Amino acid sequence: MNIDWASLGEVALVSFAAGVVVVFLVSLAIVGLSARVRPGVGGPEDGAPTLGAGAGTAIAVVCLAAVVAIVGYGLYIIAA
Amino acid sequence: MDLSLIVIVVVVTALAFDFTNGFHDTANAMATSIATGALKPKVAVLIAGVLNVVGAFLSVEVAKTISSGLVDEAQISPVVIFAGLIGAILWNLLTWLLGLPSSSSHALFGGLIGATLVAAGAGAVNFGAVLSKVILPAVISPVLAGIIALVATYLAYRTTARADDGTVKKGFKAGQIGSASMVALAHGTSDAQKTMGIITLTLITAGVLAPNSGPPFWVILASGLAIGLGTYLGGWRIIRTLGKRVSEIETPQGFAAEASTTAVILTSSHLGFALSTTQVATGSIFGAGAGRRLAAVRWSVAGQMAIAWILTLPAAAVVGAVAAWAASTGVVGTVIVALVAIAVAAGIYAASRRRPVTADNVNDVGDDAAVRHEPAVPA
Repeated sequence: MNIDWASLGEVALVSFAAGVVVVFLVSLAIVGLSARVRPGVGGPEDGAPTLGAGAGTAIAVVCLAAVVAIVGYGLYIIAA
Repeated sequence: MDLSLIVIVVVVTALAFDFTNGFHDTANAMATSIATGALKPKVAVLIAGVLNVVGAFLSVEVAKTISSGLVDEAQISPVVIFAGLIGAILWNLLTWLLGLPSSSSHALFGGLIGATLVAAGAGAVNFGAVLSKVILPAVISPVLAGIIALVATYLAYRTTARADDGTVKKGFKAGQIGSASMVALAHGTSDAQKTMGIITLTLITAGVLAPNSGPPFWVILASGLAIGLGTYLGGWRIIRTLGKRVSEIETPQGFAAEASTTAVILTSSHLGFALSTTQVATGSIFGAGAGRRLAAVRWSVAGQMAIAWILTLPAAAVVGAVAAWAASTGVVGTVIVALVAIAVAAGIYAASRRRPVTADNVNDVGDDAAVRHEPAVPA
């Protein structure tokens, strides 16, 4: 009996990293986007740095581009 | 002549199984999107159906696992595969009637293993491959998907805790459309390949293809279309179970669950593990439910599912074994098996019409479908 632990481990690691990172990046993008609706999330009262509309949009764009890159690369590896 | 007739029958039966696989598993991709309102039910099943077909063309690794390795193709005939498929189809229909998200893949493997055991003996089943490529991933994958979804959900809620509420809802809704589409794509890749594997195996046992061949193009196309059509018709019963009865799912959870499901399925099908899309998706939904609040998950529903999961492989194996025994008596036996299977399938369909679950009532839960249909108590 030959159980391929290396492949199983690879599946576990890759899918954990991809799943969690993608969701985290999308969450960050949403935080960025919400600065457009309500600029200055955070602020002096709660200690978090303020986020302006422009910076928020930039963060969202970068994060979403990263998500597209991760998903696209994954599909490319499978299809190729 | 006789040989090619049985091959055609098996191919048609395999595509019928593929079709049941599609509508049994629409829920995996679309249950949470429909439940959160990210997609309208009809639109959701259309997207899922189309992406299933696309996904079928992505990879053939799982098809190879099935057509070379699980059972010894030198020792079985197309009739054995036919019997195995009958076992898988009947179990799929029964669990669909009950609204249970059981694994179409395990039904398929169970049916095939049961039929092979009866027809060719234990020596023809490669139990090592069954354990390492099917059983072990089946145990690990839902837990893994659940953990990923749990961590991802927790992160999603923590990260967006102070963001604008409206933007969070809209953002994750948009995200869900993308992630649900990816699950549908992954489902096409993973599950359409199982039927491709079976048809390829049949062609190998009939001597049409050489051993260890990959699936020909028409097999990939037919499998993709059959599963896509099944998905489009929609398994509303199972969608209701997964979308509404496991936990109240919010958009960030739906997104996290779907992202986890996609990640697990795509990585494992790339490495040839034939795991159950259903079990992975279900594991993710439980994980996402627990990631927000442990108590929000209806663990009794989890219990019902766990029982259906454990029963699936052996139950389909028993049906497959009986069918193989009957079919081995000759052409008459095979015809009888086919007729009985069609009759049972028709009966299950008729039973489902008594309490139909459709695109229009899929999200109404009070908490059990059965409750709402009891006659109103006169005032």
